[in-house]
Amino acid sequence: MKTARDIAKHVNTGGSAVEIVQEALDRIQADTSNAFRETFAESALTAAADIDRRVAAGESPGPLAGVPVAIKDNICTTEGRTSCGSKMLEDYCSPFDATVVTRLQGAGAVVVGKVNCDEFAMGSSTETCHFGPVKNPADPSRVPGGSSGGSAAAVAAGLVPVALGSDTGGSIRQPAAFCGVTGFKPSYGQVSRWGLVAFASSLDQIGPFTMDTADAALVFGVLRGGDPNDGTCDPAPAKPCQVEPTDLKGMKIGIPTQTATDGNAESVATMLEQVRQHLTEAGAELVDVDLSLLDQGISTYYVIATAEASSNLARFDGIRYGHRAEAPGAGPDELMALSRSEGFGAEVRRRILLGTYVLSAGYYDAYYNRALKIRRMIRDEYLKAFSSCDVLLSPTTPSPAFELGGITDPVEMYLCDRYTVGANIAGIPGISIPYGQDEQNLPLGLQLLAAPFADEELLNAASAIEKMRDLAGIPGAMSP
Amino acid sequence: MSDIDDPAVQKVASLARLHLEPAERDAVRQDLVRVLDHVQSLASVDVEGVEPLNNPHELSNALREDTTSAPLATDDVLNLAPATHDAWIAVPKVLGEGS
Repeated sequence: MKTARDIAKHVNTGGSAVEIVQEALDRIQADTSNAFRETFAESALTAAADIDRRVAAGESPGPLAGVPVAIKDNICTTEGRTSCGSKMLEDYCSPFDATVVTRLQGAGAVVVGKVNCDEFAMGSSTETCHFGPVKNPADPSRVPGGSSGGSAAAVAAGLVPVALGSDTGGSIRQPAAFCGVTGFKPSYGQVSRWGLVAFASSLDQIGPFTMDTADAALVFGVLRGGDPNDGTCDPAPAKPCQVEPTDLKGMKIGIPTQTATDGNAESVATMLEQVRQHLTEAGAELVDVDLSLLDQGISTYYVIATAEASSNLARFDGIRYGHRAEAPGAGPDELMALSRSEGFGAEVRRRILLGTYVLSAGYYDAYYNRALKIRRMIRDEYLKAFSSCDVLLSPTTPSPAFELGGITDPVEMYLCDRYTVGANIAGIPGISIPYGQDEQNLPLGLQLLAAPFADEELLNAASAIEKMRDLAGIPGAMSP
Repeated sequence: MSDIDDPAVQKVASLARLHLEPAERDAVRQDLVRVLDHVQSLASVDVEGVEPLNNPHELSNALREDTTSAPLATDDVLNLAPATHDAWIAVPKVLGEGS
């Protein structure tokens, strides 16, 4: 499959967007990964024809002209349904488009459909999706990661070159690592969340899945910029983003000692050693960084995220929209409780209960308020780390993709996000790039983090490491 | 071990407006205990003198002009509701007889 920038160049110079989009739709139809929830063939082909017409008329439809994109099922589109992988919103049709969708379309991208995710983005395997689990294109017996598993699988299977996901604790980077593609979570506040169905508002961020860093930067340049509809979004105006690989010679790369542990799978530990060696040969300066609170990340994250989720998901009451239970004679409270219990799956209910518990009288200080204090300490630890290094490097995940049904214990599942939650807690940008495979050909991911709003520096560093990887002959993005 | 018993589970479920079948209550309780036991590690961190951080960049409120803009069309909103009556969203009877 071609990169987004190749497709845009092709279309902007007279190549057929209709042909490109039709090919993507054909690939999606033949796909067996369950990545897609639904496709928008008619509107996508109409949009593509319009782009072709505009190019023929001498106009430039934009930097993503004719690029087929997939949108995670928790991002609102007026076309099709926005179900969040949930029975609660099975037939919900959004009356408005998310800002990111409008921006993609404004840049010439063609939305070809919605992709599956864990229910309300709560999960690390896409197995909590009400519409069935998504299979990892690298090995269909394994999970694609989550919660943006459909987005990662759609790019890894070569169905589309770009998919949007959301990342609350690693939901872009972890599936990108499991599927062997690039996943970028921008700094908190860089990309509008207007139209993203909220899970944990102080942690949620939208970002792209692509085949490489240059495409991630291209899409990021389209997505970013202030939005009056999202008060948490940096009001700086939109501007394009183009990567320029940084010179690795002299670059200070921090490696948190807590991520180079015995807890990593052997293949992951080997990858990290290999990366260290390649970076040293390239002249980078490797710095051991002590993130002493890294192991408190998951606990901090699950208290804050579930507390915010219990509040955000209170809106699903079975009254105004979403699933309503058949309960003749039930009063309003009973109807709400029955509707919510029928509409939400087990993991969502578990998190709502946990969040309600940590916010309830008598437990607020011991859990929620304490987690917020530790959040400050974790963020400060990251800020301090960036005073001695340009980027932080670690494996994205402690192990490659696991078997479908392989993890049933909730805490074990949460620990998949051990290395990724820190970026959300601290609001910093993070990217996962593919870095080789294990002996079973399962992709391995390398995570890079940078200081708040150093998104471009992060992409430039990732691009340099990608170049280093390619020169060393290490496999990059999955190519079906 | 976190001490969360069956009445505590029922109380939290009631606060969260979730209905739990009697048969699933114990499994839910065990899940909560499992997760709460894990997050007990937070108690070991010295947080003396640390202020809570609600938001990573310590943003303050973003204000805008108080101007009107086009609302969603009534039909678009009503079409989303599970039950309607004329131009209204239908809900179960809220007030009892004689209220």
